Amino acid sequence: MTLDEFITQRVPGLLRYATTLTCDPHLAEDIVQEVLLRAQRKWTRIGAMDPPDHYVRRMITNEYLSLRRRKSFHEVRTAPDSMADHDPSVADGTAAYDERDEMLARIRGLPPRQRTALALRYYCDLSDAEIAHTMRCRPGTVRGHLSRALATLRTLTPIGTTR
Amino acid sequence: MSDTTEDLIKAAFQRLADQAPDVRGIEADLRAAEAPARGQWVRWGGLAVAAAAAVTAITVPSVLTGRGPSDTPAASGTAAEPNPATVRPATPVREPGLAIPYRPEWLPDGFVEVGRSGGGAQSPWARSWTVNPAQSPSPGAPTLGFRHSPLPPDTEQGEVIDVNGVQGRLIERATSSGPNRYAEVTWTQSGELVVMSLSGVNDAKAAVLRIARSVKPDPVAAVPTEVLSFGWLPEGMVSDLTQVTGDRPDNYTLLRTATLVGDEGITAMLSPDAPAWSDGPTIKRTEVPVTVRGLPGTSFSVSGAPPSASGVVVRLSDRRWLYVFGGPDKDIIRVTNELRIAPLAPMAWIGKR
Repeated sequence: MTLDEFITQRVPGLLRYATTLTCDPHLAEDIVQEVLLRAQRKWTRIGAMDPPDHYVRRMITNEYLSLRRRKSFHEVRTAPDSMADHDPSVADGTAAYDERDEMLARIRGLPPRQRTALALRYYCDLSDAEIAHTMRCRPGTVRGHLSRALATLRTLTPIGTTR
Repeated sequence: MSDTTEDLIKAAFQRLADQAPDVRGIEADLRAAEAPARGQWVRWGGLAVAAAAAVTAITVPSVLTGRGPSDTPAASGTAAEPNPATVRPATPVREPGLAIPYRPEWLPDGFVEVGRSGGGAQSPWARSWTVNPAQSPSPGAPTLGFRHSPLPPDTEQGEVIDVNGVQGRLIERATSSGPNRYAEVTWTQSGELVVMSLSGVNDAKAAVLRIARSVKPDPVAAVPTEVLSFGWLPEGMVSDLTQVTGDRPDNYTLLRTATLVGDEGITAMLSPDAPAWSDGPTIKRTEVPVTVRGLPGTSFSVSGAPPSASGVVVRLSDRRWLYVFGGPDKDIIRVTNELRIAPLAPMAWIGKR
């Protein structure tokens, strides 16, 4: 697969994944762009992989986690205004949207590695072993992240009673 | 965890994903950066090579002079004597290396050439220009790229334009630095499909069209593939990309890669810059003294990074640093020892129009 083909066919999906990871479309764009600039230099190898997007997704994941380490902050600072700029939807007023937004707020509050594991499981539908490979850790560590994330989500105020 | 809660988690992630930015902004920035400008960090598996020091002054640049309107001989009928400093040799001498066939005669004010590459899988040749290359690059900085195009233009995008009687296609896009600040033209130049992309300037469309229409054969330019070349390589590995970036003729970084399809490759890099390591809490680096090319060097390996994050670093007698990394650990010393490295020579084209 050529880089041009990859950008056209696969990068939109990776941008969506990066947005779930960062909860910030601007940061997602920056991370994906940084990763692709690096991938561009060794595209001969990456483009020959089957499929290359798994490798690039791994690069995105670790760029995000290492970026957070470098900046030493603990929470993703999601700017509501910037999210609104990228949000094409209009509030539909249904209960389903309310609950989804509440869950989103809770997910944003999770520590980055827990949220990363959660996104890889529930957005990318990966197994523990695949998540471990992507996050460069052991499957047991992945299970720990998922368990703590789900426990946090479970112990928070039941959805529907916070408004 | 109930199904309902799991469904809500999935729905929440879908909602987030729906807010993802459009790919076109990234695509435009990537194309603009396809031939990277001087100052871009080369980071790889925890190794960061930062601009830190310049090599000492070296011998006088030869042959090439600037390539601007001032190079044009005086029009016939004028009495002006040509300035000897701006007269080209009667028979241009091709630089050694992989020939680059074309160059633009016209460039916006301030643009100078900062990068050339050749032999890569995506494009057999590429060259790039920017302004103020000695300054740290900033997002959205003016950048011009010119390269062979591996793919024909998307006929469903952009507008049909004319480049000196040949039909081409122009695409204009917004970038993160603003609207109308990226434009690219794809056309056929002397039978070869080429693409010229310009970003970081206002009205990029008009400027890139003017640049494209000024393209002429280049009898001189080449990618300096002879400066650094592999001697021995592991079986199946083939030398491919050569890339040089710099801001002055005597201050450049040259990179050469060899790859085995489907596997990590080996990269050899000559740089005036000393190594700068960027370790994180989960990245562990170990260093072992080694002798390579008869000089004291360092073998390093990085854990918490891709498996091939290991290699050697050695300072050569001409004060350049040589980095070789990737590939099987057992082979890296032999690859380094058998690299062919030409004496330090200026690249007269760097920093010129």
